[in-house]
Amino acid sequence: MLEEDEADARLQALYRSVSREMPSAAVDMAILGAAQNKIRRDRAAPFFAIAAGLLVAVLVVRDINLPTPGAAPEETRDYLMALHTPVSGDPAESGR
Amino acid sequence: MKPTRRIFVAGLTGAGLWAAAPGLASAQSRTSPDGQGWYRAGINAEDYIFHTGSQGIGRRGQRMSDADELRSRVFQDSLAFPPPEGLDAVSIRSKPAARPGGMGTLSRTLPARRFLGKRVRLSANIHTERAGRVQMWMKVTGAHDRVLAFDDMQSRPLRGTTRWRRYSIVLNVPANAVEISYGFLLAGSGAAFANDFALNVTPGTTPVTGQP
Repeated sequence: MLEEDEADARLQALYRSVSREMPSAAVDMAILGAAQNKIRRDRAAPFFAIAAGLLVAVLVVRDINLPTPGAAPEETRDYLMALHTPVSGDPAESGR
Repeated sequence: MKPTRRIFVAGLTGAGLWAAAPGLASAQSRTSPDGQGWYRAGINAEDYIFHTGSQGIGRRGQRMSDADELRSRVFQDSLAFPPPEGLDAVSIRSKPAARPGGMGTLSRTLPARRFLGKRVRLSANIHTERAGRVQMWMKVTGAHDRVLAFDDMQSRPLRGTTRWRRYSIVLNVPANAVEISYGFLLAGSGAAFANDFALNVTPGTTPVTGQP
C-alpha cells in the first residue's frame, strides 16, 4: 500500500514537471523557429535585393527606349489636310 | 572669228552668267529650299532633323556612285539595314530632347495636269528605327486648296523598327484637280528613312487606298 502511494506520488510529480516544462518547450520551439526564419530571410535578402535591382534596371532601360509619343493621328491628318507647300517637284525627276 | 572678238564674246557671256547667277539662286531657294523639292514642316518641327539629297545628286540618270554617296550621307546611322537601290533619299530624325506631341514631315507638291482623270500610285521604300509612328501620305487638291482625295496611311502606320520595304498609296486624280502633294512623316521620337519615291499612273483595276 505504501509502495503504491509512493509510486502514485512520483507519477504525479512527473506529471507536474511535464506540465511545467511544456510551455517552456513550446516557447523554445517558437524562438528556434523564428531564429531559423530570420536566418532564411537573411540568406535570401541579397537575392531579393539583386532581383529588385534588376527589375528597376529593366524598367529604366525600357523607359529610356520608349518612344516619345507624337501628335495624335487625327491631329496629324488635320495638319496635312491644311498643309500647302509651293509647287516644287516633277515626278519624272523624282525617282523611277 | 578673230581672237580679240572671241575674247570679247566670251567675256560678255561670262559677265551675263555672273549677273544672272544670284537671280537663279534666289529662284531656286524660292521654289525649293533644298533643291530637291522637299519642304520641311510639322508640329514642333524644330524638334526634328531633316536630311534630303542635295541639288544635282539623286536625280534620274546620275551615276550609281553618286547614289551611293547620297545614301551614305542621308542614311548615315542606318547601317544595320542597308537601303535598297534608289535615288531621292530622305530621312527624318527626332532630336534627343524632342517634346511629346510633335510631328515632322517632308512635303513635295507638283501640278496635277499630267494625271487628270487617272489613277495614281505613290510608292517609296521606307525603313524606321524606334519610331513612334511613320506614315507616307498623298493629297490631291482642287481649286482653293479643296482636298479631293487623301490618304495618310493612318490605318496602317509603321511603328518601332521595321526593315526596308516598299509602300504604296493609290488615289484617283479627278479632272478638276490642280495639285498633288505627297511626303512622309515621323510622329514622336525615332528615325524614318525613305528613298526612291515614284508617282506613276496605275490601271483602273488597282484598288484605291484613300478617300474618296
